[in-house]
Amino acid sequence: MALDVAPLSNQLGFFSLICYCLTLLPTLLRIVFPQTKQTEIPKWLLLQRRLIGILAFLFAVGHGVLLIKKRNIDFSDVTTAWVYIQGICTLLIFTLLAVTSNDWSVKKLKKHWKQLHQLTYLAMFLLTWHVLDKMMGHWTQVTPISLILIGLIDGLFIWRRWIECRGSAKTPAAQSMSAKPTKPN
Amino acid sequence: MLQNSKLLNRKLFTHSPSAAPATLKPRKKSTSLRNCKLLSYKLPVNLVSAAIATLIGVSVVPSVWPSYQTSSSDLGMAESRRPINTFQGHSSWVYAIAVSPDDKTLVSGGYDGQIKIWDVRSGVLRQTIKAHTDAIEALAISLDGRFLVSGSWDNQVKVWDLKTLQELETFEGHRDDVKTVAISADGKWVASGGTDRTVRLWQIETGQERFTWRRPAWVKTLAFSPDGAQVVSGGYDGGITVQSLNSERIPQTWIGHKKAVWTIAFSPNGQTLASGSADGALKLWQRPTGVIQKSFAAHNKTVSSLAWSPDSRYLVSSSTDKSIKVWNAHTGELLNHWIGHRKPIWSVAISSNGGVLASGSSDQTIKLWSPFETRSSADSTEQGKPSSIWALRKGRWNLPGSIQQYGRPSNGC
Repeated sequence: MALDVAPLSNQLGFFSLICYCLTLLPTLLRIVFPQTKQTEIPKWLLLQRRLIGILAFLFAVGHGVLLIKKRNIDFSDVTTAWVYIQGICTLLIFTLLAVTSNDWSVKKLKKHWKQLHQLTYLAMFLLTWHVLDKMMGHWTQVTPISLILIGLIDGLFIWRRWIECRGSAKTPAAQSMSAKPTKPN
Repeated sequence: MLQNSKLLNRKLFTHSPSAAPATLKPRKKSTSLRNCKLLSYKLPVNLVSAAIATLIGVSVVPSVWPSYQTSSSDLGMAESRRPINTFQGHSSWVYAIAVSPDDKTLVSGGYDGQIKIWDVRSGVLRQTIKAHTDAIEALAISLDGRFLVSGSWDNQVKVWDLKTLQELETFEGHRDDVKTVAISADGKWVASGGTDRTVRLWQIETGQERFTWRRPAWVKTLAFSPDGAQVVSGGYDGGITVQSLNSERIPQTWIGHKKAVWTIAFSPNGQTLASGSADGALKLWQRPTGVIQKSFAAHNKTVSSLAWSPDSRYLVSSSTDKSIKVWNAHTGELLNHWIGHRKPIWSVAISSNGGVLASGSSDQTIKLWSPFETRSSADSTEQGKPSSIWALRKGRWNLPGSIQQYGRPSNGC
């Protein structure tokens, strides 16, 4: 089956997805594959994460604006909110993250900043749903790549959570081991 | 002991800081800490919930708030009419409708990618076809009633046998959404346009693409001239391009609209081209010169679709402002203003013999409107008798003989 060439609106969405995946990759790799700490790419990605994240937001805005114009999306209709819920929520999350991606926000929001930026993990699953739902039965050349990428990121995230859960389950046990009363002299 | 228990009671039941400062202080601190933790834990969830609530609120308010509804005071001297029948069956927005020349069949397509076939008289849904993998934005029926053509966001144009509903051809070539399709009057050619900025001409018999014309902007609408000599297209740049099929002449571009041209329709006599735009304007162009005969602010919002009465005297316009208006094409007078849809109307169609007028909307319904007598004062003075173009008598669709003078007019093709 020949896949269609992706139009500009889809290409922008694809670039946004790539950038978004790149922002998640350093942390995921550090926890899932600790040996990658030594390599240069995760370090570079970590350094450029803010810029890449903003790029993801800008591409997503371009994708959204083009589609709103092309498809005549009517926001005065309640059905629109439900039909495009994944895309709208993801764009809202990207907007929040992009707006607070500066030193001033980090300083002002303190620990809330970290909590706020946890939303990026919600966007991961929304994006998977978005690509599957909107491209179902009408794949372009970038659709399989998008699905593989976001699928990998989802998988790495689940793996990471499993490692973290296992680690936190081990920690109290280890603590209790170390806290065993020693024989009195 | 008693003193101790009194002290304990006081500690437990009083909130006065002076009464038990030592016990209340830490408790207060721990509560605020818990709240703070709760807040920080729930912050992302709260933000998403608030965003969704805002989104729903913004979407719901315009549809329920009375001031957003079209006011009947806008009507002026024009009459307001209600639909005579409503077809419900689509599960999402209805983007396109077409009526067969014999008035018996109505075809609709929408966001769900399905084509629904309706019996006009009974309103019964005869069949549903899963036609495309994405939304259907354009439908057209040939003048002989043999072919149905659909254009979709899945980049495909499909030709169907209207009687058997079998798929005859799939035209693949567009690289983006197909926004508009049309069939030539002789039923041999299909033209399609879309957001890949091309107009493509396909031959039904061979299933091959014959011509591709590049346009400077997204193509939103197109139509064949009734004589089949030209394909006219309108786009997001506000221009109307007239492409001759018989010669290699450079296409003409008619400039007049300030915003995107959403819809164009040839009058059945071929003398006038009507166009509707995103700025709510409706223009009548003289053929072949391209001179604007009339221009009027027809709607508050985008003019989404146009259809001519078979005798070329009346023009029906639909809009995203949820209204349908009937105009006298000669005088520009507003004759009727129909309200009934709750959401934007995307398509309006009159069958080629004028017996049926239908509209499709985002409210997931198709409405049939009474083919009433659209007689203006000017007409009656001019002719001395009512110009009964459409008449509904005793529940049967009767066509007066005067319509026959134009033969079988174009169904927006």
